[in-house]
Amino acid sequence: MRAELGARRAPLNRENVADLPPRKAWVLRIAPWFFALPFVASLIGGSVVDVAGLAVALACCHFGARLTERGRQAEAEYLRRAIAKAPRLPRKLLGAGLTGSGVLIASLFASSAGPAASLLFAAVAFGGCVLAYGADPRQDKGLAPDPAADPEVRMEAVVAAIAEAERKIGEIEHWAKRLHGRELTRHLQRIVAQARAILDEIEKDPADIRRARRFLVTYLDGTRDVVEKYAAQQEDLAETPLADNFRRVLTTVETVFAEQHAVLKRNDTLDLEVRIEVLETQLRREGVA
Amino acid sequence: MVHGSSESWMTGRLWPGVGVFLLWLVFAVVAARALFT
Repeated sequence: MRAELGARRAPLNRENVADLPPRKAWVLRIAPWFFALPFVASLIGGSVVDVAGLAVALACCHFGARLTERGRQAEAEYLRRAIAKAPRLPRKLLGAGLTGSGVLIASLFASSAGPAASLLFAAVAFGGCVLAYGADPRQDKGLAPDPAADPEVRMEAVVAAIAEAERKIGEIEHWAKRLHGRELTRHLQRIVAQARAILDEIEKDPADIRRARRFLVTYLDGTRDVVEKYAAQQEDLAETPLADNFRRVLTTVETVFAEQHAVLKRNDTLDLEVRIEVLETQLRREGVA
Repeated sequence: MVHGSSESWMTGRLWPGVGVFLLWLVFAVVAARALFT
């Protein structure tokens, strides 16, 4: 059953998880169309070198624009998070490089400009990209580089745990959208919002991660599995006692998430282990886990 | 404990505007040269 459900799961990525606004690089998408006119003229004139040069240039500019947009998206995510690693690939810079190459090739092969002038045009295009879209974030941000203060809270671990939790929350959202009942969907929306609030608390004070570990690992997994199973079989389960059990479990999940959030917010040392045990028992007893 | 970084030199509007202008300009110039030469 598990494998079956897994196989049916739609691929999820970071874009699903974080509802980021589109980060289009409009100039880089539109301006290369200026090359369309000389491209058509070269086609009509039968100049193979010009046509090939402009085609390669257009391709470079297209991929340059795509890379720049990805870089902007990565930057937006980096800025949104309190703790984040700098993107490993300097996408915006590479995008600027590709755009510059596109201009260089177009100028060299399709116009009579010499290498010096072409290089100048390429440099202007590269510089224009960097000025317009900025450089990529280079420094990791979040935990101060002071591992001696709290050796158990390593930045990599916190970043990885949060990314993993985000992915799970994204999956819960993904399955919640497939539920038929509006009441259930709203319920899950509240749960997801609460889970995100918990992640925000952890980001504010990464030392919380030790107290929230069970939430991050067991709890989100449990909720996701329950929602996924229910969503997959909801046609059969409607009007059965299992549907009521599912509703009850969601109520409990919501309560415990709220408690977890409150505990992290108060920053007290109360442990939620017992509460979590209760939920796990309930999941088993209700027959939905 | 928490510290971050951003591209402070890019926060103004002037330089991005200059960059956008340069991009339009260079694409227009190269396309015009390719068309008319």
